[in-house]
Amino acid sequence: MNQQPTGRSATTDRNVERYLGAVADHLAVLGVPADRSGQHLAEMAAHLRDSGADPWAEYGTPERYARSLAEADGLPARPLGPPAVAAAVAGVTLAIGLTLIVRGGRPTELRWAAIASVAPFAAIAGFSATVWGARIRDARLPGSPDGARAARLLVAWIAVAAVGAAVASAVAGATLGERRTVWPDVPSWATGLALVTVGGLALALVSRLPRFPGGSGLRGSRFARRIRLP
Amino acid sequence: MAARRPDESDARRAQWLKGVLEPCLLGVLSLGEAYGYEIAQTLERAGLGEVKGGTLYPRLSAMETAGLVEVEWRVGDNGPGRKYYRLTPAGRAAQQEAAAEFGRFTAVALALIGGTPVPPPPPPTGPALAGGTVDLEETRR
Repeated sequence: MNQQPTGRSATTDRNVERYLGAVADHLAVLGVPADRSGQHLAEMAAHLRDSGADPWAEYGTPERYARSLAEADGLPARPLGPPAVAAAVAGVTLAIGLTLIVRGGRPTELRWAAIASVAPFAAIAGFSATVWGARIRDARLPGSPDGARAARLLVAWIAVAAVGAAVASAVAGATLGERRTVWPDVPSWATGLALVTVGGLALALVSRLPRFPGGSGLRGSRFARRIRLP
Repeated sequence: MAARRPDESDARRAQWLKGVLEPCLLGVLSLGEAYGYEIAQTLERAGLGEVKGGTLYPRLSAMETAGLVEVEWRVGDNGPGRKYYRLTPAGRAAQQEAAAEFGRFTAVALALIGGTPVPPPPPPTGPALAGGTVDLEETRR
């Protein structure tokens, strides 16, 4: 059977690349393994190259197409995957670190109840960053239907999570907290700075993982390198 | 009666396509292995209309997951690698079963659409009936 290779402009190629990147983001959010994700993306790239079709017209929105692929692969839709959990843990570390920095030169103390109360809000922030962040990336692509709305929702959810974490931490610390001095000789600011550094590095590291929405299953896949992508 | 608008016709065809796509894919692949874009072109040339990648590939993936097709990647000389699909033994059996079932189904549907009276299907023959008479008094108790 014959194929119809088409000459394509650099703009079209960039559009295709961005579209594939957005699908990779959504596949990662849905928990599709990087190697399988790479196969889907390579097949899409080959089809678009053969047909010369616009990816939006051919596949619909990246989110919807990624979801249909994940369902076809028999994977349950699970937007709260390991990347979101890792981001939430890094968020908790950052939050504790910042709290300790504010305490200044007093001995390093922790209230476990306050930490526990912050955790759910950190999870909300991680979930929001994972899901809405991927949709915001779609906003850079022409024809994206809900990018601006996703940006507003991300800001709103992060704000809700931050306010909720602050209130919960204060209430838990005042009413339930058993204050435990961890390192009496180490000032709070030093411990806080160390935690912020560790949390920041962890977040930077996690964001480079192939399965994190900021990464790409396409580039993270050994398979993708093997089959030569356009 | 007013003529249907083209977009209504397209929507109707798209709806029908959902029901027949997998049997058609099985049928196309029974003729030989093919990659996705080839399959889409074959379906379009056959008159099913344009089959978008967004419809085709998830269905092929589901068939792969179900073990109806197996895949093989081949590296292209001047382009990207291509994913070839071919029927597994289970897929070939499913294709033959689908062909027989769909034949019966479309015969009835065509008759109904054409306004032809369709006789009811024969009652199923269970073990009791096949074995002879049924004791009605026994069944009442």
